[in-house]
Amino acid sequence: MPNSPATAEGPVISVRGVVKKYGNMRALDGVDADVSRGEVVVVIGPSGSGKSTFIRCLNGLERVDGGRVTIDGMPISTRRDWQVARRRIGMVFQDYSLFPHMTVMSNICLAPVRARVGTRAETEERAMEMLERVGLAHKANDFPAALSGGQQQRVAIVRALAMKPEAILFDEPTSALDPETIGEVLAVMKELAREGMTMVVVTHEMGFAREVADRVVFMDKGRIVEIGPPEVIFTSPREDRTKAFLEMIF
Amino acid sequence: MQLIIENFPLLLTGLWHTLQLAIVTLLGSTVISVAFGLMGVARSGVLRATSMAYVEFFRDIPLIVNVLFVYFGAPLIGISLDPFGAATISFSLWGGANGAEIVRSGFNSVPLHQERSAVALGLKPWEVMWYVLAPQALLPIIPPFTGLFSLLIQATSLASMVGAMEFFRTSQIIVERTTMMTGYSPAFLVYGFVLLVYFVICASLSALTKRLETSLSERQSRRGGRKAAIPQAANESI
Ligand SMILES: Nc1ncnc2c1ncn2[C@@H]1O[C@H](COP(=O)(O)OP(=O)(O)OP(=O)(O)O)[C@@H](O)[C@H]1O
Ligand SMILES: [Mg+2]
Repeated sequence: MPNSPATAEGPVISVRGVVKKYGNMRALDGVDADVSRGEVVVVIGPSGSGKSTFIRCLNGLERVDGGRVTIDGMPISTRRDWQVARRRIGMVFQDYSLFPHMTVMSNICLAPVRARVGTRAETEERAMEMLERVGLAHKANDFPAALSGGQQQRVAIVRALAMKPEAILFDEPTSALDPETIGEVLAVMKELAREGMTMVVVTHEMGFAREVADRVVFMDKGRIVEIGPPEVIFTSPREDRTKAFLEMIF
Repeated sequence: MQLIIENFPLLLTGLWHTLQLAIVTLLGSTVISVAFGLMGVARSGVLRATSMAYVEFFRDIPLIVNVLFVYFGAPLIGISLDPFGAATISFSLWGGANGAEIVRSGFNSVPLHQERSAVALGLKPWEVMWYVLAPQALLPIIPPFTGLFSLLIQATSLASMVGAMEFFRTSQIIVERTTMMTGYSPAFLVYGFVLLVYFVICASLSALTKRLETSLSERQSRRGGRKAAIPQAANESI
């Protein structure tokens, strides 16, 4: 499903020395990270450590106060740069944020049709296929209010996919869901990962992280404390802060 | 009744002027409301401050003072306005200020995550506005806007203060003339009729917008939606 790489080598998303301030407080304090093509990066860390801020910087929803963000080797800075870049970097939010005044189908097709990713007919056909795969074809003409949280979140994932993005960012996609619907959303994400989609996922689902992540990023106080493969991070972390955090949640 | 039939042509002229006043005022107010309302939710702090200053200034002045101020103030800066012009301009400025506030709070009532997720899809700023925010802001805007419209229609009677020959003014003339000629004042009858006419206009306006509102909210909460891609399953759910 992911596009053929524009540049075969080099990371899809790269951040260097990124700083984000709210007043005097540094929500991000010099963050460096690369996301390679086809890689699944899971971001964990305590509440307020800057995970959301970090992931929002990856598609320009937060304007950085220092450092730079590069997409496919191209530095992105102006508003217009970001607006175009966002077509290639999808995002799924905790609160799904479907547009309540549009049907599921219109929610999915709005952006790709506007951006001419395909004609309306092509886009609707593709949307139907994707909805079928997440088991929601029968909801295509319903409004979001008629869907459960888990169903809405799956639609939100399809909506992001409809842009044919090179990467998708997930900010706690299951945190607002009832426990019984978390699994259905995680299943869709696992399948995406298997197909080689580039993903950055902020989550508290450590099972998901262990199973799917290529690398786990542990953040604390606006910094990346440790990056490594899940086996290492979860079993023998180098840093004490990582240890402390993992002990707290397990 | 006799009296009203006798003076019907005059009343009709008055009513016609009132309608003209109202139409121009409502159009002017709406244009200003949308423009300043959107400025009120703009990214630029300068635009927001401008909108806020405008809204606060005109909302805090009684409408009647506003009318007199424009009518008598305009010549001082070299513009001469006829009563009709002065009335429509001052009503529109006042209506626009109140309407801008309604539009602004309509947009503010749309949850922030709606804008964020629209932006994250790579939509252009105007597309975010047009396809995502405006349709959701419309529903909370309609009821207070209807209220503003009937207020403005009623307020057109204030144009008589600067001598515009509108409905209220003509009925006043009828009362005065009849009183002078017959020694008996038909004020109760004539003003009763005036009241009835304003009531009919404003009531039909709110009935009309009530219907618009219901059809809008029905459309937004309807379960069926656009029957496009998948005919067989459309009725299966909920
Ligand atoms: N819009 C904002 N204005 C001011 N401070 C903010 C804003 N957004 C975030 N912050 C602060 O920045 C810091 C990082 O917030 P962020 O939301 O990125 O944390 P997080 O790791 O996602 O936390 P959580 O797990 O609770 O979602 C926090 O201290 C938060 O209070
Ligand atoms: Mg967060």
